[in-house]
Amino acid sequence: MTIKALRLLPPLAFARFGSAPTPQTNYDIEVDHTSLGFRKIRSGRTLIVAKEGKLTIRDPALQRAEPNEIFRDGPHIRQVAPFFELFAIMEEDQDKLVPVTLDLLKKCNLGFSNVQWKVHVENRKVFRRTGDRKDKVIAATPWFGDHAQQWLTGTCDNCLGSINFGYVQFVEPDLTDQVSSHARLRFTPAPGKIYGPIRGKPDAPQDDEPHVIPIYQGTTWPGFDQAKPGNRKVSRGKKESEGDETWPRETLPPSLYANTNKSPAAPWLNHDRAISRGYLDDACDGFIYVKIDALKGPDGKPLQTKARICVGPPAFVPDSRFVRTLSDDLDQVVNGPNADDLDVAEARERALDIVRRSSETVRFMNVAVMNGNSIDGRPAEEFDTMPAEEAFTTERPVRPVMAPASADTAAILGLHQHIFAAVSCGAAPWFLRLLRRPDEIGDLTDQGRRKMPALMSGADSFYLALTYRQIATIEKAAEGDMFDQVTPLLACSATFGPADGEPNFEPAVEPGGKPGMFEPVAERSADGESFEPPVNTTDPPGMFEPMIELPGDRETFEPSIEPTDRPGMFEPPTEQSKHSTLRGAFAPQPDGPAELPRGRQSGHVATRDGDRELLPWA
Amino acid sequence: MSHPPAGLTWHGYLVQLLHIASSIEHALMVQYLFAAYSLDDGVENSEFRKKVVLWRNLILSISKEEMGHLLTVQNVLCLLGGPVELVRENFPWDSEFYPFEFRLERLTVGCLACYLYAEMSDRVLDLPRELKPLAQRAEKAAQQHLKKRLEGIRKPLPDLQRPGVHQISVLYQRIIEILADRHKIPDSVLDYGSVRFQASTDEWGRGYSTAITKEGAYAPTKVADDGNALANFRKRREEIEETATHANTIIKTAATRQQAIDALMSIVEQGDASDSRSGGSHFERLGLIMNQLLDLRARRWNQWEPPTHFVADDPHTALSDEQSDESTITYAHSAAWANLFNLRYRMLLMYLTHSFQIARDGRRAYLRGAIMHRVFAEMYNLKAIAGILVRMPLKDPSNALRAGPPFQMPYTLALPMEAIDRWRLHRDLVRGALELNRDLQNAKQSSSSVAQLRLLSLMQDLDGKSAEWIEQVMVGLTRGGFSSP
Repeated sequence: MTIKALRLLPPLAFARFGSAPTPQTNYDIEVDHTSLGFRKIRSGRTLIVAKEGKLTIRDPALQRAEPNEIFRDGPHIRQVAPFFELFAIMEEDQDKLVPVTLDLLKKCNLGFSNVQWKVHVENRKVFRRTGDRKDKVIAATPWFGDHAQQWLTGTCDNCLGSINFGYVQFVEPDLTDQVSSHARLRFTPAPGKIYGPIRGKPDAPQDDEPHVIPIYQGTTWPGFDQAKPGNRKVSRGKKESEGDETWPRETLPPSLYANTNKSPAAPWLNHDRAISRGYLDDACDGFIYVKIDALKGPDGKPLQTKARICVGPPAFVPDSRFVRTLSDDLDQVVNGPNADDLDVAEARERALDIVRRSSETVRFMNVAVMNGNSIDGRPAEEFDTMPAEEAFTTERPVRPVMAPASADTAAILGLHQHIFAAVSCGAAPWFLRLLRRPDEIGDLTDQGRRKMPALMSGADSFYLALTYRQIATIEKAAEGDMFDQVTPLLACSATFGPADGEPNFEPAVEPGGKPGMFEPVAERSADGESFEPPVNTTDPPGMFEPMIELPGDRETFEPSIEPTDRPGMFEPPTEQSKHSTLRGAFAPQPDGPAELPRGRQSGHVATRDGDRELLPWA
Repeated sequence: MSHPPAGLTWHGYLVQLLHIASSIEHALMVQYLFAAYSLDDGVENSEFRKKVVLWRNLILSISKEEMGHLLTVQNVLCLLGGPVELVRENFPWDSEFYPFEFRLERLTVGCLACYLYAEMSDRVLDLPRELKPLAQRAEKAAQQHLKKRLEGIRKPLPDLQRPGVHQISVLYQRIIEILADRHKIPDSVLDYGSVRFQASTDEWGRGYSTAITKEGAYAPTKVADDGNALANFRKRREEIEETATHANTIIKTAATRQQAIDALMSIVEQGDASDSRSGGSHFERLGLIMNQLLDLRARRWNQWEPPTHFVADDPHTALSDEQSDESTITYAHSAAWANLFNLRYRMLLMYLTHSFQIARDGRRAYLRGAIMHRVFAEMYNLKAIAGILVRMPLKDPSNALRAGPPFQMPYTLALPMEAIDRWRLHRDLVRGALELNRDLQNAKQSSSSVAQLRLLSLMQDLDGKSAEWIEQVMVGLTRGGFSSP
């Protein structure tokens, strides 16, 4: 057997800060389709890694199920420490990813000692602003193959001391089972501390916050202000920092770093002033590398692959999903902005999920404040909201987005839940026009501001929009009601298994009919033929009756719009029509009604086809 | 008119006319909703399906605008100190101001012709040139449809060609004439302070005002009559198709006499075709549907299936067996759903009526907002239940005829005098809905579908929360000793 290539999964993982001694256990969030309740947190199988690297697997039944115990340990938040697992593409079957286990390595005449890891992460938050390479905080490990914890110690030239970025550990595999024998690395993030400038330095802002660890000794970051981006790095004739001649252009708003303003510290509430306190944190992102030395690629170098790691803050609402997430954006990147690859049923499921996520999002919004209401006499400008943001951007007074009295979280949440109820039972989404398109984010008219998603900011500081693909999915789902597509209860084997939480429908097709209980049955004559309209040869054509010629074989229709005909209100696009003779159907007939084409008759039909009735011309 | 009808003052007569206008707008809204819900977009042909969805959206946009008219009329009533009134005549319709009886019908060519006729201006001669033939034909087709409708029924057939029979716009003209006359309606009867209670676009619509223009997206400009009528018409039709599903909901507050007059004028202009600049009048939109419907029917004549659910006309539940007729919903499970529909319709109307009793800037303004959200919530409930009822049997599953949403008027829309009693009424209705819901869930019917049970379960959750919230409001009112809301 030959390993052709290596892969790490996931290719991108997110760790989350936490200061508890042990990380979170695994969990799933499951939807209960029978109620409006929010998703249920259910413990999942968890891999526990001991300090020395040994792995044990804990069954969910033996784990704490209380959410607060999953996410917290007393006052400490448990971190999310993701695993990266090694897979191989084999020469013999290049369409599959095969776990790299002890067994596989043995078959390739290799062992775990041949697997080597390396990690390189950085915190470039300060460098991003200053452009000074001395502000890059870098942590890297050499190649390693043992199972000890490899600490990621971040250092930078402008820091006195190091910043702990957490550690990585090559989990020690064993032959207990397939899972335990899989080669994997665990990334455990930092606790989430704040670092700041060394105190007492002449240029450093006065700052005696007790939780800030003094470490930064450079001069550029403390006191960095909003005036610098894009300008030359010269102050009193002297270049202020290493790197380019000008400060990097601002692509992130100044409100994203801690500034010296008194609370409320938002720059737009302080004459657009944002003087940095000189803080940085222990977040990092970078790459996880793995190689198998004994294997060489086509270029002669050891087979190697990499994955990406990012660290972020804890998720404080872990049982809810936001209306637009990174996965929606990635879905669009992979599958494009349209929803052509989805059938209507799947589009509806996804649309329903978006509606559910909308109500989950409303759940943690203070709608009254975010609407721009004045609260207890405090002006709306005091709060960091979209109405305030756009007011400062456009230099106009703050104006609530919706009528202030209607901006109530409980009421809006209830409304979203009603929408969810209607859509989940089969109604086609009717709110398409209310969705803000990505190219409408700058529409700050009252109409535009009220579109959905409401009251939230996108990455560009304008109002949030769903992705094109999300909107296209809802468009597809709105193609029609799906009441008929939901099968009768007693004729299907709907189950709500604990494993996946999704019902397993077996549609029951009624003999001779479509699925669904109450499909109207077309009336048929005794011999099974459809009814033809009983026609009366003496009646003239009706007012709205197009002058259809019915050839004997009823196959072809020749358009016969006379060029001299005066077009009427509903003149159809006759030059495009090849299947009807629509001779100015609604054009005035100054000479009276034309005779019925031969073979065409008029009259009343069975009540089922009420609209086939031909109506008189006079 | 030189004097009001006997026994009425001018003010009293004006209030009465506004009540009639309100009844008509309510009836039209419900009629259009029924027609829209009757459309079946389950057709396989994608082009056909898109058209059906478009027609439904067009009709729904019209019904939303009718609701705007309804609210605007209530606002004028508030200005005049008249009682808010959401009652509509149940079928049969006897008002002299509506050309024929109100009726819930699935969308057919005939009933579409009736809608066209009802929406067109009384001043046929003033119609744009290209609309006159349509108007004339609509009148004739509507007449024929009415004749068929009255077969076997001993009622006189309205003569739609009789001058002055088209009375909706006449009604509004009469209202405006009286309102504009300071001798008949002195300033002293106008309540400027009522604006706080009136409905506004801000609250009910999607923007602070109706002056929405975005390169013609909501207010298409009049197509220049450059002689190329066909091209102009097609461009106009494209504009309507592109934009007319955007309801231009007119909800105008009236703080002054002139504002009230302007509000009523805008209602008139939106409906009829007297001004084709009005952003796709109802007449034009219905005309577009008619054109497309007939075009498709012509092209698919041999395999034409009307794109509607086969719902009964005027479906209704019965209080007793003796009252059953051909439109009575007698299939038990359908009747249970229909009862729930009627109850939720009543809840919607009660919330809407109550919203006019709470000032938007008062201490309890948040209750007004919450009530308005409940109106919308009930709209969504009605939409969902209607989608179920158009698929459920009227009498017997073996018969093709379907039930449809009954939209029966409740026996009363009167609100109690005391605030706490109003909330008690809401609570009673929610509890009633919970009870009907439980009955439906417990029904031993093999016809219960997953979708229906899911909706019932979700509604049960939501109603439970509503009941709890109302209890809290009542507790608060008891402690606070408020007499309103």
